[in-house]
Amino acid sequence: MTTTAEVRNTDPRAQPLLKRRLTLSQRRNITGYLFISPFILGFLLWFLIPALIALYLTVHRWNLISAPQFVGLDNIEHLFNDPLLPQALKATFTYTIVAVPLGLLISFGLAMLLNNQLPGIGIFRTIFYLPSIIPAVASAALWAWIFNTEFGLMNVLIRSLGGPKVPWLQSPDWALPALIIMSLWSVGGSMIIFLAGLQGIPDIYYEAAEIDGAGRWKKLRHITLPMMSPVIFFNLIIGFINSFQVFVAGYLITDGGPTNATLFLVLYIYRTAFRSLNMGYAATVSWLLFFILMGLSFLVFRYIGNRVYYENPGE
Amino acid sequence: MSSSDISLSESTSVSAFEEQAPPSKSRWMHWFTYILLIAVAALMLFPFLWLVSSSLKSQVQIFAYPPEWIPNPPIWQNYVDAMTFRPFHIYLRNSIAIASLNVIAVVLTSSLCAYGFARIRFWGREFWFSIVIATLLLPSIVTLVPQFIIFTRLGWIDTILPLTVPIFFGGGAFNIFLLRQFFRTIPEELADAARIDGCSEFGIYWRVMMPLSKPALITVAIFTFLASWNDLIGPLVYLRTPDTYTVAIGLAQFRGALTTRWDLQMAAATVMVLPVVVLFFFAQRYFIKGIVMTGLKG
Amino acid sequence: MSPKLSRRSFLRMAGASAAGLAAGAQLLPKVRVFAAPNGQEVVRISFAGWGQVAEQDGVVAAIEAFQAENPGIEVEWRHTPDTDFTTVFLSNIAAGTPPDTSFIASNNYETFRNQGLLLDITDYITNDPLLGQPDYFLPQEAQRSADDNGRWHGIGSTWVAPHIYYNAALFEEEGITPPGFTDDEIWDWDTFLAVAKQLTVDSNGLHPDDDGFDPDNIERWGVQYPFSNETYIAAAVFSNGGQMVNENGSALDSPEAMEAMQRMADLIYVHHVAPQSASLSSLGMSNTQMLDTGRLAMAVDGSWALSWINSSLLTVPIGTGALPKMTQPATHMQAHFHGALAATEHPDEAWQWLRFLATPFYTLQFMKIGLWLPSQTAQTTEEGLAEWITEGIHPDNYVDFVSEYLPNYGVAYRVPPGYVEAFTNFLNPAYEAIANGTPAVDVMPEAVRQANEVIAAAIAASS
Repeated sequence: MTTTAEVRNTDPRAQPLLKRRLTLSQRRNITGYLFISPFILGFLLWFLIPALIALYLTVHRWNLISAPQFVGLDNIEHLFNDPLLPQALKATFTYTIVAVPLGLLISFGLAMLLNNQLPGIGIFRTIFYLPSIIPAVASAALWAWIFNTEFGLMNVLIRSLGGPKVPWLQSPDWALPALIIMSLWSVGGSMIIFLAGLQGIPDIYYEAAEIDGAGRWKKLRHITLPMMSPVIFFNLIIGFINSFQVFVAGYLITDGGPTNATLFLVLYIYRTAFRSLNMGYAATVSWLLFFILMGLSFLVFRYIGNRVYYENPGE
Repeated sequence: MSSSDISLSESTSVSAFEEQAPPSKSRWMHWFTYILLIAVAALMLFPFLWLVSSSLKSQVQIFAYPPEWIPNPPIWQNYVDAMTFRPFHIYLRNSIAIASLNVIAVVLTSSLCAYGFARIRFWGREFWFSIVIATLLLPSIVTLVPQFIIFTRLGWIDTILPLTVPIFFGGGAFNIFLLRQFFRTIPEELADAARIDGCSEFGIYWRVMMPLSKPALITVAIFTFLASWNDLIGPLVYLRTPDTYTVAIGLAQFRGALTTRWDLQMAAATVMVLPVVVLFFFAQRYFIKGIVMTGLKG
Repeated sequence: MSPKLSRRSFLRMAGASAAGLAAGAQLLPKVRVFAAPNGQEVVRISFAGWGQVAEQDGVVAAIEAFQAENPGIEVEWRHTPDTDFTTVFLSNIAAGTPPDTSFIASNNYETFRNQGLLLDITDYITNDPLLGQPDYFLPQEAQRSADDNGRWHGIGSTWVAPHIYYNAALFEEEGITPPGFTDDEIWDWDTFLAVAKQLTVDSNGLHPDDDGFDPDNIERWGVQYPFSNETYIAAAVFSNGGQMVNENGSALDSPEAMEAMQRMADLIYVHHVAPQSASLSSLGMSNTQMLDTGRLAMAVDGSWALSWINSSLLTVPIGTGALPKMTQPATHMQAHFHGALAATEHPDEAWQWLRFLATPFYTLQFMKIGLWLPSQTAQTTEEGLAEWITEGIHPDNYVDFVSEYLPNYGVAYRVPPGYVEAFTNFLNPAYEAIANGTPAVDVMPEAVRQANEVIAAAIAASS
């Protein structure tokens, strides 16, 4: 730890003037900031300044062409009487509230299923995981075709079982369920995280429970779930954040329709900004999304986070 | 030298795709599990089969009921038509260029920042790291409109600059976070040894940490490549002319232009999926490693 | 805004002006105001637009011809092949790199005019020996291009309008007289409905009024009258005596308008002669594919679709006829504009280029392939028609459509500022709801109220 000090003693003139006057901790500070300087610069340039611009935009009306016009709190007021915003919120919340828990349940179930040391299990892991890395644009094209009322795979299967033709993407009642089903195809990401978590639970706990005569359900209830709670919590947060930002499916498959049934918040922001060219209001809705996500994260941390069981609390 | 020997931690060294010897379990349970596994696998694979099968059908076959799963004869011409309908080779070139620049940016600058956060105790470190975490949780859409305005003013619209330059500033909170977690698992002694040899902090980062972190860097590189390859909203907002289009936006536009030519759409989608699947099969273990790193150290 | 057309006899006027035009056309090659003699500097102007392969090729050919004629001007084509052209256009303006000349979507024309984006070209037109002639354009042209004070900020590129396409072989087989374009050939709604029922067949060979007809398993639909493009709705509304717009903005909450839309929806839900078709792709097949495979007997589509729905491209012979009249014959005429930007540094050169786009060379190449209809009077005379009517593309009675039906029954109207936003957010979702079975009277009044708030705000913001 005194390498530099020794160097200085042997040959002070070899050291630059500035360096000589700095203490070790000062030098560490400079080095540290030099290392993280790309992030700090990026944070200022691509985050803080845009955030300030967004703040400026919330009190202006601007269509990119004429000069921005100060409108006071008009944009914020419009949040409360915008007839489309409740629809966008409803679509986004419904999607999140159904798709995220359902996705967690399924991916957890699949992880349990894969947490077996059977011959050939690796092949199944690969198959279950693969859909989650398919590009969203490609899977949007694919699922638009799968959900096609007349010729799509989904209705072909339903009809071969004697079911009715479901107007998946044509009906406002079915479009959102269709996009939720599509999202379940790619649960592979959270499934693998669950699987890794399951494999991290020491066998000794289960063995001890078996000696106590615990059955399958009891082991799940009293060992697996508590041990897995940090992982479940992590997947929950990631799931919320991702589903609140759902865009590609609504943009490419349904274009927000039919009758605005899949007008997700991000799609609404995109449209407001780049089709209606209402930059001020788009920024205002962006802020709303920001506060919703912050609030949700807070609630999740507050009410679910403190039930999470950590084996080694703190770090 | 064999950097892959370094495990992330006790619980995360699991390679989820590797098989292990089967323990004794009841035969009945085995069969039941297999049946479930096969059923789910069929559900997961059906869409892929439908994709490839549809991509090889003629315009008549594609509307046949009940559908033929194996098109006879397969129409390979669909792929030619799909690729020549628009200059897809240009889109491919652009996608690869943007994704490669993103990978370079992330590997260089994320690791730099991550090293700072992982190994140097400087004043304000905790504060800045909490900012990293905060931006991690933040939806990127919030800054979309103002960033568009900035790039418009810079004259960067319709160039790949908005999709690449910002990445060189730290490469994203997620990657910094991921690499920091990894760097912390590398024993401090290695760095100390280099320090005694008169190595600067940058030298330690570049000559000691980076080579040791190859597996983590590859993981980060793969995910960066995928994220860039799959991104739609960025190209949609910033790219304007076919000369700058990426594959993602090309396919999206394709959908608009050829609404009911499902055969060609599926062929184009297959072409977009293929590199991803190939990448996946060649680099399976890095995929898993990355996911595990994010999952358990959060 | 007066969307209704004058109903004067069009052919007579066209004939009268033909002689004058012929003289004017001879002037054409001589109008080389900016021909650069040796060594003079070349002025470069840009031209922004969208379009698929055909349009792209057409524009490139036009640029070559124009530049050969005007060596002093170079035109740079800025092409955006697909959607969101408006975003591209406006962000270029915001970035300080606006084009000199551009396509302007008809839905945006009034919005941009209101914002002062477009160059006033009225004086150029008036002083032009060719375009300045009183009957150079069809009479509807002034109704869309000129504002309330008679000022022009663009010229319509062409006209397009919806009509019926039908499977001619099927009509012959069934012994049904198909619709045409002359007054006695235009169907009324009841005839149309009866034929549609006769041509609709379920998997047991039954028709919609038969006992045991199964609407869930229809083998062949009688007709497709989609909600997917507002122009079809406009045609129906005009045909029922309604209006698309009035001084408040959208006028689709009138009883006539709502009844027209309800009739379109009833084809699907009450009469079971049309497929549910909120959007094209959700139906799986396009109407072209359905006509071609015998799954559809009649399709309502735009005249532009003739460039792919025609007897030389499909396996079945294709005929065309007028839309059925509800209370009066009508169709909706529209098309994008060509305009110059007010900010251009080369207004004279920009005008030369706009002018060239409004002359036969440019328009003929699109008319010949079935994509466009004439907007210049000379192209609707007998000699004019011979220049572009193409065997195998244009059915025999297409002459009636262009020279008789459109002049009398084609309706054009100006789309108010803010309409794109009003349409995307409120009107189109309402159309989708009607296409999905919601009664028009349940959704239109509210949608129109909300749409007109947006339009009022757009007008207020720019004045």
